[in-house]
Amino acid sequence: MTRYIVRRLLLLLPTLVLVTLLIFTLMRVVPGDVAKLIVTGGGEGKFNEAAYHQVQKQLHLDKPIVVQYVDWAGAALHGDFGKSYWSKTSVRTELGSRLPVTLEMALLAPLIALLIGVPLGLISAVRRGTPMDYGARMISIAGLSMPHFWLGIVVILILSNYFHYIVPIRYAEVWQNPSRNFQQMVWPILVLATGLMALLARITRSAMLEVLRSDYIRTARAKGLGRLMVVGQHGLRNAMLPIVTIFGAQLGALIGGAVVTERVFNVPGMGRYFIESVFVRDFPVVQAVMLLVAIAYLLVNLMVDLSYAWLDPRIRYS
Amino acid sequence: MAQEQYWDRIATSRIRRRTALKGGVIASAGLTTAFLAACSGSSNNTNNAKPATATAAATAASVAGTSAAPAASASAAAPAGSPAAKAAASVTPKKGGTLVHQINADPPSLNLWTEFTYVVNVAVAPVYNQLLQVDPLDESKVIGDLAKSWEYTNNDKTEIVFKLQDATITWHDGKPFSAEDVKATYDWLSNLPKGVVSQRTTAARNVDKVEIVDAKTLKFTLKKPQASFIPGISSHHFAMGAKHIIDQTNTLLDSNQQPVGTGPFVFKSYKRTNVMDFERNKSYWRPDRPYLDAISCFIIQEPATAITQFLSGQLQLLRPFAVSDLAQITKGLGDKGTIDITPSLSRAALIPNGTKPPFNDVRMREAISAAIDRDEYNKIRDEGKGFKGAYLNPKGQWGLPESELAKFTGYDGKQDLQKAKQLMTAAGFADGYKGMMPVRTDFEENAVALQQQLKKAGFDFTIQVEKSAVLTQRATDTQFDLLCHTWATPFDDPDDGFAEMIISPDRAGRNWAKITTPEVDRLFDLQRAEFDPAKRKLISNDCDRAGLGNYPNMIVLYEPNLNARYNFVVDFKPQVSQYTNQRYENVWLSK
Amino acid sequence: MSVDAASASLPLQGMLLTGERTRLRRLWKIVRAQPLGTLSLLVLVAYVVIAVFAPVFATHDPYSINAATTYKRPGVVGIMGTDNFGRDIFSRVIYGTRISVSIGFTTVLLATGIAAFVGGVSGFLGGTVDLLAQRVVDTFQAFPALVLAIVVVSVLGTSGVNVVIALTLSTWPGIARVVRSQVLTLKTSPFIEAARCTGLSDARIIWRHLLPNTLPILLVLASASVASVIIAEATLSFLGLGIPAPEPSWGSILTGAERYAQRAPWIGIFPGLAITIAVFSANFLGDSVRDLLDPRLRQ
Repeated sequence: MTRYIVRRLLLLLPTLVLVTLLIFTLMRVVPGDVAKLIVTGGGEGKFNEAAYHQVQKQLHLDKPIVVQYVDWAGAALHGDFGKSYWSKTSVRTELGSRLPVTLEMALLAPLIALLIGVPLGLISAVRRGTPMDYGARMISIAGLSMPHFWLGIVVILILSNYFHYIVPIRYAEVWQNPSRNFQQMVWPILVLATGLMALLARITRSAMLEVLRSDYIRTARAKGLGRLMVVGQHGLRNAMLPIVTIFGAQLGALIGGAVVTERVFNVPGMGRYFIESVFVRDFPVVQAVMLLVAIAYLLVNLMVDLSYAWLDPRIRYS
Repeated sequence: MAQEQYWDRIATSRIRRRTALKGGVIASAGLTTAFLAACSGSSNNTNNAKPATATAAATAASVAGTSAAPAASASAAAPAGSPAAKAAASVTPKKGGTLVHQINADPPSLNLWTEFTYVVNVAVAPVYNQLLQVDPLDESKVIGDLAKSWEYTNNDKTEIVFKLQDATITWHDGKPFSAEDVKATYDWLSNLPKGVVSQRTTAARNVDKVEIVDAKTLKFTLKKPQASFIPGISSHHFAMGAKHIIDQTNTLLDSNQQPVGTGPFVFKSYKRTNVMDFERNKSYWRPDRPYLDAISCFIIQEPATAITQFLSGQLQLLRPFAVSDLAQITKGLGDKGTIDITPSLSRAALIPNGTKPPFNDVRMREAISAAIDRDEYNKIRDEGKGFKGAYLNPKGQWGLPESELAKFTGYDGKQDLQKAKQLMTAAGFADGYKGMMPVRTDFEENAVALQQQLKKAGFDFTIQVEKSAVLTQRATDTQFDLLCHTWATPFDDPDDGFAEMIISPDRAGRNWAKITTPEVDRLFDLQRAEFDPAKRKLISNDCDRAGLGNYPNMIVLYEPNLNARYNFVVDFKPQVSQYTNQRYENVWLSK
Repeated sequence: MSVDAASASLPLQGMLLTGERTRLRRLWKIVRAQPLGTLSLLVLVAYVVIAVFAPVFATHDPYSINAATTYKRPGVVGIMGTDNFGRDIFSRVIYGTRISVSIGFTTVLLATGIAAFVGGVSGFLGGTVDLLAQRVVDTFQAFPALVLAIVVVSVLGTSGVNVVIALTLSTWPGIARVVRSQVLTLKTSPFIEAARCTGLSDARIIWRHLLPNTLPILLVLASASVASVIIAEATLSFLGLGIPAPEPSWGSILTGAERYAQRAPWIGIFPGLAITIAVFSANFLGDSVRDLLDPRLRQ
């Protein structure tokens, strides 16, 4: 097991280097000169050649690209993501206030998805071919069938038009005012959870179907164990593996979804900051967010893989 | 005019919602937007120490609103200080409460000196005073702020003496305000540190030197006479900075990137992408001001979200909003609120590339102007609430009369396909023309309408939607055939209007078309040094005509500026310029 | 070929081997077993037909604006009403089908192609090639699909082709990973060993025996991907990075509709329905294909 862990960790390194390279290259080939944008006040103002060169110099954009990359990657190693080109504030500080918001969404959405999705999939599998199965599948697929932004807008419209309910405007951290925070976060989290919920229901269904047809379940049934016992005790436990895997794989989709839901629900999180930064070419911010997300993704999947290997010894030795 | 009277009559003309709709846009305006004060040379405003009361001009205005002459009704505000206004029941402004409003994006920073976007001054202006300000009641006038009066002291009109207020003024950090601070501010603005960009303070670059005559008197020497100098320095971007902070950070903000001023509200906190909070300056130098206890400015990006928050009462002001939302907001607000529609200084325009064929040929540019259906565009994009105009605000002091405007191809508002085809044939494009039409994301729908109109004349443009980062580059590098853009100027003043896009490219801020009209340049310089407003207007009109005739920039329409607020927000009057009257010093809540 | 016997366990191939009448009977059996799957397939076929023959179905020019017909209710002007430009929404949705469906299919075809190649080669050859290929896959997968697509479109600029490129780049790694693991399992199976013994070249083994056997799983993945690509295209449009105006795609119509949701909800309802039905069908089809292909689930 130790060997396996070490091997997996070593494999992470080249991936990380590739990740930083990809991020950096993408950011440097993006059209639209940020120095020009800053000098012209976002494109609405006058252009001044001298000031332009000065800004380029301030932002170190006049250095060769390789030097820029080494500078950035070196600083990022120490957790220093530089300063925003626009606000001149430290990217680390900026992200520090936004990360908890997105994290709250990214932790609670899967939880809700799990609480709804898995039972839905179970019902579907146990009652395969019945109207209940079709009903459960329809619900779960419907969750996948609407773009997050559209679902979000529909939710806001329904709340305000039919229930005259408006989400409180001033954002509260969960530790400041839990009830207000709940009111603000519950809708984006629910919207964000729909996709994962649908996916989990489907995975659970197929995994359970597979397990339910396996020999040991038949044996358990033959031994006269109750239906509930068989499903809960033997079936679900064995179906858990693919469910765990899908969790890791879906972390990315959650972060992607956060970009949209944060904007629709006016939540001050990292996703909104990211997309706004992309548009104004605030490279230090975009690079920092992409790097953090990539690292988070790689680590979570490492953990998933490790738990997988721990659960299923065959993997370790292959 | 005596300031005593002025502070007495602090009240705004308000147009009730229905009036606004009935009277249409023109009615609502109150639009005598000129900067006469600048030209009149000097203005001896005296400071007042007397507590002010607001007259309920609102009543007067709403009565006027029901009258038959809609155009006159709104602007009225019962002629300032008139007996009628005084006779109206005086309401003592109520103290206290929090004003809640919104901007649609985070400003890059809170620095009024260096930032360009209007959201900075909408949010941060309450923290500061300027030397001069635009009269919150009458946009055509400049009145004193930290300076109580000013005077040109030589015949060349290059020397101005400012007298500061007599009151004791302190910075929010407790240090006293003095003439040194004024000098430090204008030294910084007139001679920017290397690498610093300050687009909104160009008027200050005409300042040659600032001398302190005595503790309450300063003398400014200008490089060249400039008729628009006084109004030019009265926007919120000319926020007064403290010398001790400039010495420390070499900019307006302190070392924590926070604003410190002498203004009516003190900056408290800023939570990015959510809210900025300001609270009452308890030791504000103007007695009994401000009325409000606090201001909260929320950052809400999605218009739909902002509208629901406004209609639910969580926001008290909503601006600016799109014409297409007018119906919903009108319905949702009922008689609880008021909607003001003023013209804006935003011009939807088509900018041809004058550096290469075909638009280096004036006939092809004219053909574009002929092919646009400005009236239909107005109906579709602005529900008929936009204005046809030349390069200066058509509803303001300097605008070209409509009858004159209509003499230029297309500017009468009608599409003239026959003329467009004739011109194209003459220019050698009888079979039509295919080209690229870049547009910034936020103006995409404008381009859609114009593209379809141009198609009828044989212009086949492919719309290229770009984020501002890319569009800026395209525009400054002249990489386009026809650019669809909406350009705005901060003030309704000939200097601003022409200098932005119309004078020759080496002098203009952003003459993206790169088209030079020598006559425009000549007339521009003439009006710049003309201090007599009547003469200046004549020259400006000639300049407009000279520009229009060369079709360097086809103004499609001046867009309306829509503001909504609840009626309990009293004494807030939106102005045509978004860079003035954002301080909420005299605003109060009646609920 | 003896090795084909192994793949004959696949129901689809089994079906094709039998005679005309049996084939029909089996088809009927499938329809009976998977009514929703069949319906989904029909819906998707209908979408393709609409996409191909859009000009036939459309009642109006989807681009032409008209100041006189703005914000008209469904039934008043056109069966789906008109938008803020007075354009016929029905015709725009029809033309939008053409764009959205072709983006969906092109993207998935490209992504599946790349994934099959990279996953297949990497899984079959193993060793250094596999190690390197997997790092590349890891790198691309480390970014959320939408985040990667946002950045790629920002780099390339907004256009239909660039949206396809961006979505392909963010779709292929997930599929490649599954293909690889499938190939790894197949590689050690007896029929591949047998093929090796007969002296077939690597290329031939991959082409003739490995890929056909990954086809079922590819089909399932592809149908799910079509669904997510359609959603992703709409989301990119919402963020201002999708198909530029005035081209109608479902996503771009929906995005424009957001501004008028209170005033003219029909602008958004119909393209929204078009998306939901398409995604629903694609997902259901995927489910049904999987149920059908899994021999253990067949009764």
